[in-house]
Amino acid sequence: MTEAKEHREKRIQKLQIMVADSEIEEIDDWRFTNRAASRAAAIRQLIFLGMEYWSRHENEAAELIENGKID
Amino acid sequence: MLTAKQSLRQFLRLLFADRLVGDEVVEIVFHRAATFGNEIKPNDNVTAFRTLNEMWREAHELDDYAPPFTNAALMQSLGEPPSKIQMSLLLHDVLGLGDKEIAEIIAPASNSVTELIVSGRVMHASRADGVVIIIEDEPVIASDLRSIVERLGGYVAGVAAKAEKAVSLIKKHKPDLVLADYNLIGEKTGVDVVAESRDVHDCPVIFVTGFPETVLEGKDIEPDVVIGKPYSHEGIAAAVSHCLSVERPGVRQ
Repeated sequence: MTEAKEHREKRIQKLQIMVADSEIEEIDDWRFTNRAASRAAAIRQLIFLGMEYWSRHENEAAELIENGKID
Repeated sequence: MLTAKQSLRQFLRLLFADRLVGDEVVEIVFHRAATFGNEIKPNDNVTAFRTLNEMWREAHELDDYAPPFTNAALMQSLGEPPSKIQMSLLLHDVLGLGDKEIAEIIAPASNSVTELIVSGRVMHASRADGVVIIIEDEPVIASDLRSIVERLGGYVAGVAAKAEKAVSLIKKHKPDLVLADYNLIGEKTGVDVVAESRDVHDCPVIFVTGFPETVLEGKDIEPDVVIGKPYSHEGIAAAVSHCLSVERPGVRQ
């Protein structure tokens, strides 16, 4: 058994987020276009993409935030 | 008669004593089946539950962490898959599935389904230590439910026939579990009681209802655990005992 398996986090946490109706619609549209298993799965994938984008294009991501695209 | 999706929902909500997590795993199971071209037919419990087992086992057996935010990562964070004993007991006593169907779901197994169920009942007997509130407007049924809970080792802090009293009992006693009839005297249902008391105290709620299919549709307002009426003593005992011993998912604000 590897160390990762031995010490693997066993707990699942629920995270509450607040978004507007129109934003839910955007997430649902993204979900259907990308065939995500559920709305929550779509949000998890979008977080993954956001983090990947940040790690690959840190300067551009920072610029997006500074320009008020994301706050 | 429940569809396979509703049965899986009933099982997973019970397993985690949590509607949100249970329903999420159901969506992942059906998505996986569809992705692999193995569409689950409405009455095909065997494929639905076997897909769950397969997916969970695969995620759990990975030596490393699954990539973050994937469905496999979520399955890993749920801990170990249920044992064959636990699965057989809940599928038989709570969901009412037959031995043959259960045997197909848990195959391969070295013990018979009957043996596994008996072992499960023995494990659950007298191990339900916790405070329980019963919401039931039929005195005979309320008394019956109370005796089942007490036989398991639970303490019934109060019985309410109406929604208002139920809410105040939950707020006062902060129970480990609520056992509720869906239909109550008056205009409010058991779901209303839970919605009103949840902000003050969140604990697993087992609903006993003659129409389980109406509260297993995957909607936000639905209860954590659903048991169909007429219920069996074994079914209530297995559900109560399980809910009092399970570690529920946490909530981060």
